[in-house]
Amino acid sequence: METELIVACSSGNTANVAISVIRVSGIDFLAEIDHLFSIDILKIERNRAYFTKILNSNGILDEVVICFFKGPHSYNGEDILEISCHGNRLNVQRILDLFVNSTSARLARPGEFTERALRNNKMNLSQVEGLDLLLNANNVLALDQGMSLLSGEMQKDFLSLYKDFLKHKSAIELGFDFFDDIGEEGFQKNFDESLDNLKKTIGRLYRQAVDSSQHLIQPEIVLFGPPNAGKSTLFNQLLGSDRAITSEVAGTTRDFITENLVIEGNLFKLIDTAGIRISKDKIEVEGIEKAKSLVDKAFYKILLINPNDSFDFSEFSEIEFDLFLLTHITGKFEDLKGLKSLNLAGPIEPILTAPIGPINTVDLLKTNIQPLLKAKIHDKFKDVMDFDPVLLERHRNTIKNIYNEFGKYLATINNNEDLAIISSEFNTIGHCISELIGIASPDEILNEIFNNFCIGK
Amino acid sequence: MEHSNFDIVVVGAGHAGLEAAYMASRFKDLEIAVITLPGVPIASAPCNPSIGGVGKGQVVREIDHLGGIMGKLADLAGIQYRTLNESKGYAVHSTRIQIDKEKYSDLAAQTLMSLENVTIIREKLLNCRKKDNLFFLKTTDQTVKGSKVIFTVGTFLNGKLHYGEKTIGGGRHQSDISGGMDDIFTNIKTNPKRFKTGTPPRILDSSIDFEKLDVQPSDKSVENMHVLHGTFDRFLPQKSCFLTYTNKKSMQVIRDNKEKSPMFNGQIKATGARYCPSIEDKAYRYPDKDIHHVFIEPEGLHTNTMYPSGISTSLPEEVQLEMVRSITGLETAKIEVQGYAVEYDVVDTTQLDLTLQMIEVPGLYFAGQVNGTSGYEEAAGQGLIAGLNAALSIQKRPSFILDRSHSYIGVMVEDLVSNLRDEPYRLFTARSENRLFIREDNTAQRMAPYRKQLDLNEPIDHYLENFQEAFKVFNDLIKSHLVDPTEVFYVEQGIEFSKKVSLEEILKLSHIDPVEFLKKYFIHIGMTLDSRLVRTLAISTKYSGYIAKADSANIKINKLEKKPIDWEALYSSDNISFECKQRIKSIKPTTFGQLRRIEGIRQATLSAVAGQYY
Repeated sequence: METELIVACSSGNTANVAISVIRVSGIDFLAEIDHLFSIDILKIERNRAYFTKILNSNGILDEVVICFFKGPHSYNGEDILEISCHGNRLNVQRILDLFVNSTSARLARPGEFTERALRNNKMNLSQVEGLDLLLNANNVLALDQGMSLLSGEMQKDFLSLYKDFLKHKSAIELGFDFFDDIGEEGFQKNFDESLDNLKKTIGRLYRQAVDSSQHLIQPEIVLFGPPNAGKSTLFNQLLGSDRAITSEVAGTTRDFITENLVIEGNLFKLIDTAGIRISKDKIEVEGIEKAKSLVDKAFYKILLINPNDSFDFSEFSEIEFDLFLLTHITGKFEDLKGLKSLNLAGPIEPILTAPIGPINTVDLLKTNIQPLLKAKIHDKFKDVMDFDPVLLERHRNTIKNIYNEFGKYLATINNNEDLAIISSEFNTIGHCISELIGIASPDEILNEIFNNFCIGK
Repeated sequence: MEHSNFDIVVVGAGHAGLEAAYMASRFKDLEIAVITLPGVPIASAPCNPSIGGVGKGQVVREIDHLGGIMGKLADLAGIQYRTLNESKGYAVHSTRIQIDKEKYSDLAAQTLMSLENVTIIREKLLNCRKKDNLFFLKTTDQTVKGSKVIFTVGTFLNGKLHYGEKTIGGGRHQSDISGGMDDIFTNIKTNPKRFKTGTPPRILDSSIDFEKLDVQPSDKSVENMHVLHGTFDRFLPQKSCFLTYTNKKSMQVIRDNKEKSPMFNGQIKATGARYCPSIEDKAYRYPDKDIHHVFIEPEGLHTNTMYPSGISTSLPEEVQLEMVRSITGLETAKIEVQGYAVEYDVVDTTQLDLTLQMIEVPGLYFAGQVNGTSGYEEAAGQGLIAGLNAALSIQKRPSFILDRSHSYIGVMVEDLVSNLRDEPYRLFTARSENRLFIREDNTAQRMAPYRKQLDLNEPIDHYLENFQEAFKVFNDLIKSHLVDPTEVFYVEQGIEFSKKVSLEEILKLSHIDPVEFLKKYFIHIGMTLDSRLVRTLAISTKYSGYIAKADSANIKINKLEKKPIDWEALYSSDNISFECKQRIKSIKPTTFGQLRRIEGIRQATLSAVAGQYY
């Protein structure tokens, strides 16, 4: 059974709340973490609250209240130490870092506390069956949204990581099953080139994940729709007085306009797709691809339609918009010809019961929907963060893992081991990558399941 | 032969049919009939004249260790041996044996005829009907009755041959045609896609200038396929294979005649395999590449033709000749049999279970190319599974299913029944998740537990038992016995340790060839061991750490993979999408792993199921 020491923030990591709760779970670990506290925690009684200071090498990190639950009389059957600290993201992060860096603890995967509870028979069958219900709610959706919280650059690197991984994997397979076709030279060339690309991508991701901090999370809000639907009007409305924050986006294409936008203290990127070439009846292929990739990865997708114009949306029927704005309303709702090409039924999968977001009808010139929109966007952001509060830390950790495993992989290659061994070692990296990107591996599925368990607590 | 009543009727006597009949015949109280078209040789090799290959060599050895016939015949008819992937590590070494096609077929026929409980019926099958758990197979001359039927008709279902612009009905060059699935059965689903395969022209050997070609002689150090044959015995004189290349001119000839190619002018609508492209495919799809390998392989000791592997084609004969003659060494080549393509119907294998039995028609099995696979070895592997299961089912014994983590046959069968294939299926080592473990050298270790289930008590069973015992003894020795590395013997091998070490540690060193070292070691200590055993010991030790590591990474996956699931409950669940339900209903997965590998199953469905079972 897995008894590694794990630590995570169990609640209050979303915004600047008053108190956050950090949980440490494992077996007989008090001695190991004793040095981090100002009181002797080996002497504390179970189920009682103690006031103490958390110490790092420079002194006091925070003043906290701790409570110790001795297994098996804890909710997951292991020993659990609950630390109530001052609620502030940076503070929570510092305490988590302290545990990870100066004890054997590692960050818990989402839902891992609960996973252990299940294993230790601390949950009964009816609770397990309840899982099914939770799952149907929206776990996949939530995972995708988790990705969409990340900044565009980071998402791009994730995707190229997957691509480069597959390329190198297939380069290896070429060596076994198609060696006669490709020959030694062709094999080696493919192997080296794909390895080199993968190395670069992993290096870039690693530097991003380790060096930079919060700005890795910058969810994108995309305004999408045919010309004259009102995108630019809405864009300016949303920015309003916040326009003072200037965009620093470099290297992005000139085809669309982006601005930074702050909602409730969180930084978003607002994108107006106005520049994408979409003609009235036909969308140019290049435009389609660009628009699709922009909209696909966005966190919040707003579709604007002027229902008086007909427009072919068949190319975009698979995109799940969060909000669907009908502008320039003049006639009756049923008469709107622009609606006809939209597939309002959506996919049948239960997780997607509302594929086309709530329909709002507004006359942009007369109404200011800025407060309503911002509230909706903030609600979604909060939902996703509540669902997966350690998103960024989890990603970081996985990226570090991939980086380390890749180092070992390179060593295997340098060690002149045979290709069969090299291939087997490379699969380890595949497992790490799948945790990150969401290839349907059972491991990842399980993570998602226990992800969902977090919701209830 | 009126009122012929059999336990098992095998239709077709190719590699699948032969293996099915042979395995079933091991159960002495069963009566087996084989119905096959008159004039078609048994277990013939209408395409490449070789048995084995990457991934396929493993299959042949699996068949052999399970008591099958393919490995034995390959050795007896073998005229050139080669180990493929030799430079890529022991795990992926694959044996390929060039065979004398006629000899192979003769031996197969002799074997089949010598089986006391097998009756060969040389007639054409007209239809097959099931009534009260009994199958009635009407042939041109009689009605044969059987409790189980194994259908192994290869490419003969609605077969259509293309020779340039000429098309004729048939499953193979100069063979009779057999009807379509609808003629034979009343309601068996075929794959909506027809499949296509092709074969190159055969070249008269006296017309080839062998001096200009690269030679690949037979490799004496390759182990025989059949474990009860002397490890390195050769039963026929050995021949060489040759290698040459296409060039700009060859490819230009093909490109200039695009409108005459049945595959590209619309005459052939079926799907060929991407991994086995015709020379037309290569010419049109890779316009920048002119140099392609052409392996020139002997078709037998006494046949006068050579098989040019790599230039399968259905272009008109005169174009084939012009193309062939542009190749180095083939400037004056004469074509003895022209290349052609064949289109055929295949069964919808998602309608089969893991014993290759049609779920809706209990007692009816399908195996071989009719299931959309390519390759003699794949066919034989399925024949073995179908034959054994038909026999076991009659005896009311548990099914015989090879796990995909233990064998390539298991990988293949599960892949077939889990997904509707959209191109001919061939085994690749990449299809296995367990490549370091599913090796040729440890086939005995992998297959012995399965073979034991059959409870047959044949010579192979004694071999496996002895092998297992010896393996255990020497494996323990390798792990526990400490040697002094300062002895000259070890220093000479470049082994540097400051203290005593186990043999295991030495075998795992990256600069040591484990097999060569262990051989030398046993000679050094004056012991003579079976070379197969030494090989298995050495390679198993070398990989053990990596296999354990991969295992632990996979442990959660594997545990979950094998969880049985109730597909009917899933089908009636409110929480699963309509589309997923349809797929689940058509595949009827029995384990989580199988469910996971169904194309188009959504993650939410998997999560829901995993949640229930974890």
